[in-house]
Amino acid sequence: MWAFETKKSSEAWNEFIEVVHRKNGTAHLLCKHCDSAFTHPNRDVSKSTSTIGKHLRTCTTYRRKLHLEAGEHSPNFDILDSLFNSSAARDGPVATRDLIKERVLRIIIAGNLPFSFAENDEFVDLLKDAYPDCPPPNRRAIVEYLKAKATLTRHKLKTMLGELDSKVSIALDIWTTRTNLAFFGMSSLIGWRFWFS
Amino acid sequence: MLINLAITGHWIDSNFRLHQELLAFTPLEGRHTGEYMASVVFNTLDEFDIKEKFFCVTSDSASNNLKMVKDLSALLHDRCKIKWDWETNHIPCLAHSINLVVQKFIKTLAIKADDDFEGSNGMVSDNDEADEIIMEDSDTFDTEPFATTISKIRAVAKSIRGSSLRWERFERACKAYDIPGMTIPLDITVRWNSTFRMLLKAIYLREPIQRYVEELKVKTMRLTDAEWEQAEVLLMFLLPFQRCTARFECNSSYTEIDYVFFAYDTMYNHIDDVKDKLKSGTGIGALPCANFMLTAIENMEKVLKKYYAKTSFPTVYGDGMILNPRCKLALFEEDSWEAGDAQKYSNACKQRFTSDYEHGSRISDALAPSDITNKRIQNAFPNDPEFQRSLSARSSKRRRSDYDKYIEIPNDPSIPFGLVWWRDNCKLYPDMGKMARDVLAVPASGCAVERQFSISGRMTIWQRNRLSPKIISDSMIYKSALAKTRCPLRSELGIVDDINVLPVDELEGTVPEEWTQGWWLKKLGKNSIGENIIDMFHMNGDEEGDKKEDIYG
Repeated sequence: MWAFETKKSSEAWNEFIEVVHRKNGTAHLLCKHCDSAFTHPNRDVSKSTSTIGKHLRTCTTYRRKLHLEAGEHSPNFDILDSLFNSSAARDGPVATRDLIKERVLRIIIAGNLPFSFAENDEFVDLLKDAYPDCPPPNRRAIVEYLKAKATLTRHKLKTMLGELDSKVSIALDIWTTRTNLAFFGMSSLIGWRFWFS
Repeated sequence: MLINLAITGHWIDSNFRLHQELLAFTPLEGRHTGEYMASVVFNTLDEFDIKEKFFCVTSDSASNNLKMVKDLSALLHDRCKIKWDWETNHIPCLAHSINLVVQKFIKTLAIKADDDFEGSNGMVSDNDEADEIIMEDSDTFDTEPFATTISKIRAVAKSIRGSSLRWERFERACKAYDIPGMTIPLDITVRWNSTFRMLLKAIYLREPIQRYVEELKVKTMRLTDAEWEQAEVLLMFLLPFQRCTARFECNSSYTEIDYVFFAYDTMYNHIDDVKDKLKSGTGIGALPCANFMLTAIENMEKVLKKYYAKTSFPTVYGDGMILNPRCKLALFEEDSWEAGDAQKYSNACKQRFTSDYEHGSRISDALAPSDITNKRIQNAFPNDPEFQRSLSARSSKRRRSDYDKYIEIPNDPSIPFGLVWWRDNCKLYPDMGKMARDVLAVPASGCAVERQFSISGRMTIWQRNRLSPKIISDSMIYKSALAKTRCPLRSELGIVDDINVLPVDELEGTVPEEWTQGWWLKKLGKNSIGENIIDMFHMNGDEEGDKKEDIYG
């Protein structure tokens, strides 16, 4: 009844045994190192392995084994252990979906990158490594987030101007930002001032 | 074709920090008439709710912009009953004015750039034999002296850019003189600076150019010594104009309005000086090309007068000057101004101060602790009319003297930046400080807007053809907000101490390099302009120049 045939790409799978509950018939995973039991990731559509991945980062037996394999002998293992496990190791703001969206948006806006850069394979990999708990945003989410941010910026400006007790001057001008010539393969973007044309 | 209207807001907050923010980046549809633009501007003012606080609008002097301010004034009056005088509150962009003035000079000398080359910029042929083809075009040089010089330099610049083989050859010529390989920027019609930059670079690269032309064996590009001299004279003549433009273009955190009269003064004095010398027949007047230059300068002066006449309407020029603790009335008292000018501007400024800003102080006085004690005394003698009268007379006397008190303190040339002075002294002159905040925020040039356009040009490259106008405008708004914070997200979430930040960076205390005497000599390095040319320009005007330097840095 379970679709176990899905490709198990996460390396965490190697450290778990797939088991079935004797009475309920539900699928579970059992840690090979400390016998902790988890609900099976494929129980719903998300098929997220984040739970077992998180366990592996905190599983003391597994970590010790890793260190022994790497040839490191650490008599004072507890300190190292606490370093690995403490949340203080990655200080700064807690990664939420919005935070990642904002960071990606800032990179794209600051670098004048196309929005499809958010779906660039290398970049997505980097994000996954840096924030394993959060799914990387796609281009549509970024564009939507930009719209929200622009509205927020305008609102902030409005508040700032509302509290202001001095006068405001403006400067304005018109410019041809883009010409359709680009469609014909002209490689130069020439903005000319309309009053000279 | 996507046409955008950019609007930047300029103001000074209560900490005397100058703000320049992009308020709108709106795509325009159809014909951009003045009427249509006025409605867009009105909507923006409405959106940010600054109709009451709206002070000046800066734009270039295009006809639809004039129509725009007229319509905007009508709109504000009809819909919101706000009296906004377009004649005194429309500031023509100084950078555009200087451009048109110098363009006139360039046009008269017939050294205007031809933009034909622009289109073929991307196509670089690898063929060294292409020399002849280009040279055939420029065979017919004008007979006028300056035109020949400039078109020869232009021909060299084009020749270097035209083929990669020739570029390598020129690079070798540069290396022979221990100069890193560099090209000569070609000039374009819309900006006179480009001609200036081309000349500057060409004079810097004089020796490599001579060597390169000798190697190519193209006679039409060979510049004689007299022609090099002409190029140097031209560069020297254009230098003060470049300084005036650079003052407004280079930096975004300076106040601008207080330097406009100084810029005009510099240009007028320079033109007068050079004219006198050309007429006298000594110095540069002795050069064979003197007559050509004289006509060009006279034409230029006419245009300059036309644009200077426009500065008589807006009041902020004089006020800005007076409100700069460094200049105040110093410039009006110089010889080039009429005797009564200082008094005239001072009186006008005082009148505006009395009518518009004294009232504001009365409100703030009511909140001040010193007046609470006054009120207590007042309550103690509620029925004593004589006491009331003397109290009000005394306080109004104190108020009236606020302007006089400010104008009486001597100018301090050591003040690096007017706004910092105002922040430190606004307690002493609260009303004047309020006026300074309004006036000094007015932008004198459209440079802030043009800067936004270059940013947008970098964003809407042709590979991103499908960006919708809405997204472009959103990106621009967010981008300018990001640029203002100047720090990554992580530190933004932490504590940023906002109050201790100076109105401008510490660096602003020093005079910008372009604004100091002889920066171009440093820039030219070993291939500086010949001593004789400098002497020609500075035969008797030296002392005067030094004096100005003291006042304005």
